[in-house]
Amino acid sequence: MNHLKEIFFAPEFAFLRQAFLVSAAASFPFGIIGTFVVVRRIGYLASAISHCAFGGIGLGIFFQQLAAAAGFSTLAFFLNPFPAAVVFSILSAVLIGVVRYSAKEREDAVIGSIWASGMAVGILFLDKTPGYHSVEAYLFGEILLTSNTGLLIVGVLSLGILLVTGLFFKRFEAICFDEEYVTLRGLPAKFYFQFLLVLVALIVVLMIQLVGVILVIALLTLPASIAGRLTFRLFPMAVLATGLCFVLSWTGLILSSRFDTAASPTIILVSAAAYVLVLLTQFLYARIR
Amino acid sequence: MPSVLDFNNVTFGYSREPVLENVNLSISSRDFIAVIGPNGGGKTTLLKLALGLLEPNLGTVTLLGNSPYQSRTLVGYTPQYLQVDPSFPLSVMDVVLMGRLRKKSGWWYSREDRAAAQETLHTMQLFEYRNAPFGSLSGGQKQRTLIARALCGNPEILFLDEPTNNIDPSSESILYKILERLNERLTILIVSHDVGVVSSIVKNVICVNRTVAVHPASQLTGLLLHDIYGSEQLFVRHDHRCTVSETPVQEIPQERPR
Repeated sequence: MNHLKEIFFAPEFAFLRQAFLVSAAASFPFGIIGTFVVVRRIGYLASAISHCAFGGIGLGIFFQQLAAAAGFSTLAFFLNPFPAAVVFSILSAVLIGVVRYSAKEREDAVIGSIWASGMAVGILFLDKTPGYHSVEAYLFGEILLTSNTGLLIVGVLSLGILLVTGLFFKRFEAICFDEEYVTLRGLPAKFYFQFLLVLVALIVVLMIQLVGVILVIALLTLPASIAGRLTFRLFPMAVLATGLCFVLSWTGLILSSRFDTAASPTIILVSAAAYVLVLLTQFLYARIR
Repeated sequence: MPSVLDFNNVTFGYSREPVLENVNLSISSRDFIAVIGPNGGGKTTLLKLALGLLEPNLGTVTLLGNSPYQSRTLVGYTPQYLQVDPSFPLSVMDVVLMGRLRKKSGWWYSREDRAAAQETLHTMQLFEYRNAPFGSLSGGQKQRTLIARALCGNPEILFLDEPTNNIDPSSESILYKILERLNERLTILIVSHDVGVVSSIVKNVICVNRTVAVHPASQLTGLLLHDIYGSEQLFVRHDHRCTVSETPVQEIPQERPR
């Protein structure tokens, strides 16, 4: 507790305070949309989208450096890799939706190729970018370097997600359970599913700065999976997943500051450990009963 | 009785080979009709064409006076319960409330929606399970929950796809009793493999095997089934309504298929 107090009030730990605040704000989109990702079993689609975002990041950095080298410093400032990642992710979400509904090819093969191609584009452009660029920050995230702007963006995103899912909750619930039935009720089920994928894309790309391309999927699925084992209704599951995401990311941050370990992987490992603990407890409880 | 579902010269195929060919069919209001036929014969395709989930290659389908697409909200549809995820975190009430989804419905379910769902749960003898997890129900209860969802939208016609698959005989008996009662106010079309039981509760039978023929349930015989399925069938009739027909109570083929 004293350790937590020290982190929150000591000026030299301002970066840690920022990390705690951003992970608290991120708990809402991760918990709520993660719930839909888990119950609809589309974790692999979210993974494909997050890896495609890396293509946008590579492209953004390449053009940013190109503009800077050509002397267009203002343009270079605006050519931030994140807008390109947003565009790439949303395009990949739309493409995945189209493949799912209309492609005659094997869905897993096509999604796998979208996933790999996104990564390949990112690596290719980074390779051609002048100078050295560490991709680690994008692959594994840098939650401790969250800026005020980053915190603001995550805060606004959380509010947006709360509003949108509040309005569309019963429709998302219905399409996740039985999409064909929603179509028969005269509602555009495919549009709602596509909309859900776009929301996943937005969350994934904006959270990449926190936990990175590879680890973002863990925070999207682990807290919701734990919540799914403890509740049997969707709304309480989303609330519990949000709470768990908050507790698990704060626990991870505290442990990482205490033992001087990398923050993002510590958060993920804490979440994975909690999931295994819940599984084991339930298994043992069932055996004892 | 006015017609509620019409197929006029309908041909449909997923590829070049037609699954259904030149189908003409007319179902009257308050009919209780079973769709039977061998696997791959086109039963589910017929159902999907009637629901507007598939478009015919040739011909027209008319449902309640309009195209199936326009009449969708007047139709109750129950898929096989195995098509939905049994581990999905929903209560029985949550599932039934989905029947109230409409294009212009509000963001959350209204008090009227909840009242309608409760009434339907009473009809389907599920009210005591309203707060139970959907996944914890037996096969028969799950199937009744899905029928309750279909009824909750006040349909004029009810389509059921293999409602008795994987459910025990006592649940099956409860289900058929409820369906017979519902038929007093609804047209019911049921796709089933359970020829014997179905033929004892329905009024007419649609035999589907690429082409379609409609027979009164009382005229369903082992010989007719042989023509539809293309092999000998063990046909045991659990008879209620058909005792007046000339159909034998039990027909066992002379030679069992090897």
